[in-house]
Amino acid sequence: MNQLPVLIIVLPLLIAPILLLVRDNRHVYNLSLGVSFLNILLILILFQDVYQNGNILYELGSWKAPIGIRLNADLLSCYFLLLINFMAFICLIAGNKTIKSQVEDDNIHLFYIAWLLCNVGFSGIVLTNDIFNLFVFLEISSLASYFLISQGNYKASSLAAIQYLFIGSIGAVFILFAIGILYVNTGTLNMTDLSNKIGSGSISLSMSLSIAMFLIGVGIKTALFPLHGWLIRTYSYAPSIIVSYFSGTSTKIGIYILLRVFLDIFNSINPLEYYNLAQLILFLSLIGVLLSTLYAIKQNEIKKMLAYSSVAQLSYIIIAIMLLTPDGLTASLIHVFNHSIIKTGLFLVVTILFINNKNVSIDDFSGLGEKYPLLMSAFVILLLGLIGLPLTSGFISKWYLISAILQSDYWYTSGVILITSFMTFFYAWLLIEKIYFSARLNHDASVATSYQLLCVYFLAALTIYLGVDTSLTFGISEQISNNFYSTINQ
Amino acid sequence: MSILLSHILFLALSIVIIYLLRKEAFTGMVSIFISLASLVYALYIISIQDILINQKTDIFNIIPGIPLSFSLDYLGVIFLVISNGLWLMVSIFSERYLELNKYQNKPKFYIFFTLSMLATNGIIYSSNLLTTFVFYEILTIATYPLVTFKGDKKSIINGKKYLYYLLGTSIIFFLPAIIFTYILTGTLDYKVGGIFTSYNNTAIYILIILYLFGIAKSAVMPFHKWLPSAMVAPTPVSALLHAVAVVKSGVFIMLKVFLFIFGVDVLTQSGANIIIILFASFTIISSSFIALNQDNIKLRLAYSTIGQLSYIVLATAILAPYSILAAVLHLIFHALGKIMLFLSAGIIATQTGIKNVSEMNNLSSKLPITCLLMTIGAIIMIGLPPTIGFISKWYLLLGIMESENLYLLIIIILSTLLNASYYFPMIYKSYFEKAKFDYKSPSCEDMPLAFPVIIVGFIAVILFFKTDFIIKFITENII
Repeated sequence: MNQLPVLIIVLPLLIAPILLLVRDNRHVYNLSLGVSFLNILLILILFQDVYQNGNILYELGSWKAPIGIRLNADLLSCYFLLLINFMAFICLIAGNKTIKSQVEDDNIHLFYIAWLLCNVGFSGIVLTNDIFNLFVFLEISSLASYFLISQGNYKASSLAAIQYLFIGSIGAVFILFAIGILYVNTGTLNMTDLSNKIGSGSISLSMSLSIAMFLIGVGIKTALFPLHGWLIRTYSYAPSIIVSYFSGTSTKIGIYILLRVFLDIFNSINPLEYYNLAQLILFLSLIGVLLSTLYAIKQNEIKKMLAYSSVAQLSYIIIAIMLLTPDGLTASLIHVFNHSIIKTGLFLVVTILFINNKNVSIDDFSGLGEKYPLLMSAFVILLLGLIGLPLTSGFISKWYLISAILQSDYWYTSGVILITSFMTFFYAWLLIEKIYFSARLNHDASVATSYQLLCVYFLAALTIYLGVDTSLTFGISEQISNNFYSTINQ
Repeated sequence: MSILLSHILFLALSIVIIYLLRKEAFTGMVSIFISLASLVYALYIISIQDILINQKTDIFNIIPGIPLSFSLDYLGVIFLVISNGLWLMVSIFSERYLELNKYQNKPKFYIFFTLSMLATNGIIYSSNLLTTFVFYEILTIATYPLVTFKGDKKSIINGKKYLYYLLGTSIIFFLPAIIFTYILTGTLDYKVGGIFTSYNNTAIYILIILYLFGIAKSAVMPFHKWLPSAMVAPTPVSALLHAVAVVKSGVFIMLKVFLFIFGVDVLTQSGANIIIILFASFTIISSSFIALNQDNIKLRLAYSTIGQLSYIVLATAILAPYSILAAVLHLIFHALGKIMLFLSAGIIATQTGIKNVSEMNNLSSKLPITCLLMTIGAIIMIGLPPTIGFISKWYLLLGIMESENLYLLIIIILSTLLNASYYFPMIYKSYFEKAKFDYKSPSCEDMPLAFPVIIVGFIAVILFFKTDFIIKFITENII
């Protein structure tokens, strides 16, 4: 049996308690970095394997499913797994200096432990084939996140963490109830088994209740409009390195659960088409895109601006999924990857330039173009990617998104997408204008270490690379969505 | 390696060279050599055009199935000579102009200038619509630092307007038009006769409107406001980019979309060209009226450009062989005439500080050569014999007769009268009106500054007697 799926989860899980014994900040950092790196290597090997030979199933303790717990690494899992761990690794490299100055010395080793546990949770969610297990991993990552968020050196940080805790728990409770109802109805928790047992019959009342609860729970996790409030507050008050990390991972996990639950487990009864649920979510998200883009333009605080921008971009992803076409799913998966890289890059720049600034306003970027010509060009490339100009990865996303919408029943909504995509340019331009045309020079900006700079350059380069070579994003996404929709149509 | 690709790479490399040198003193000279080399490239490419025509070079896939791809077509050949030839002239001009006007930060100016020309050449060479779109956006971004080159508040505000118009229209109209075209036809390659094999009229109508608004670089109303805003830029930028490279790229793409994406047959059968004719006619007339009220020389020229561009769009949309000939001819002739006008305006502003038409009294005593060149340019714009402007207008009229859209004659005549009424005051004032202020010094003509303009003027005059070969080339290859 291929041991890779379980290693990816267990390895950091084993290292975490060891870190508690090590305590020395430098060693703790090196160890976590090492584990992260090792994990990426393992994931790459796993990915390769899955790509060539199809799904890899791993029965924990050799108990056969549906009694035992099973891990299932398919292309969708690997795609998200790679993204999440890659983002975690980049943020770890870039975050060292920031974490040192933002987190209290005594807490640093705990911080890294929480970080690893959070990542274990994420990896577990995408790998598990057991829906209750998914909930457990979700809780692991959430608990770790509460600690991570509360470590920001703002007054509001603990408040943000508590809010995140409350809202996250509400979301988790909904998901737990939904799982409970499913279990009562089918008597199984294994996802493959579930989707077989749900069958293609009519949707019973209790089943529709379960679907509704899943939707609310996942909606909170993905910051689906109008459930996005927590994301704005978290992103504004959490330690900035955590924001960089979460912007590429946490919400994307929500997207993963959405896909797994609605397109995989429930695929035989297709709940999204039933009750016109997809249409409802699509129009909600359209309003979400419009409003959050408007809010993003109005923000003076850069973290809030980027947070609203994240809500808008997540809404694009959800809109693409809700088209319920293979093209739509492809577009959403492409954008998941591209947006993570771009947004993490943007937040990283904010993180490394303003270690101690609590509220970074747009004005703080005044004249930085002259002070950091290279870093700022990377920042501008990332912004251009966010706008979606050609030769950046954002353009690829936009192309497939618009292409999918034009070919769907909702072609008339493309106008909103196009106009909001242009409005993205408005707030991106506010920044560019400050960076290059402001007379005032900001002296507060801190000096970045070469590792931090390398991370940002790397993400900027990746933004361009993924805009030129689409074999990773488009190739894999297309394959995933074809797999999904071929099983649905059967 | 393909010669087309190597031309683009050469320009990219020269940008790197200018960046590495970054010397205020001689980047101007370097830039002249680069534009000269680019012209040599263009001429060499034209000399071997028979081998190159329709040979595609794919670089990499932008979107799976749609590569960034270069090829040369006959329409491109014409635009290639014009843009690269005039680039050389403007490089010579701007070297002196920037020095006289004491502009700082010349390397930045030349880097983005060269990048703009790279994008223009990229548009010329692109063999599918997506490649065109990529370079179209690069051109917008690359010209922005030039528009805001002065760095004062006014240029930043105008620069923002410039970007909002050009990027906005390209994102909201041009991109979906391209995607829609791709969904309908499965290809984006330019093909003689168009790529629509089957179509329905509604789709064609929607697409025509999207393209018309989307390619805002051709400044068809209502998305024309960026062009007057761009006039805050230094004169060489207004002259080359906003009278030749940028706007002509817009018209050039429009021509290619009409002829090689839709095709003459589809447009005539669906009757969609009427929409274009309406918008273009409206633009021609209203821009002339606005130009009448502009006192600032550059703004008056800008609105004149808007009108003249719509001439080309109109001529294409009529779809008669003569009118397409007129469109291509006007693409060349307007470039020559307008660049003379803009450069003259630059000379006038540099040497005397005059920026408004109302101050031009008796200017000819001070700048005799410049005023002569400006007069030639103005007469080309009005379209009177014996200048090349007359030839393109002549064929436009023939085309209108041929297509039997006789009501368009009224528009052409009206606009010619309007053109005359806003260009003649400039000529009349500078020659015949007495100066309110006495110009003490008799002549302050700066020969190095005037030299490139004189050459353009010389070519413009010669061309009137030698148009046969151009007309022959166009009728044999394009129509």
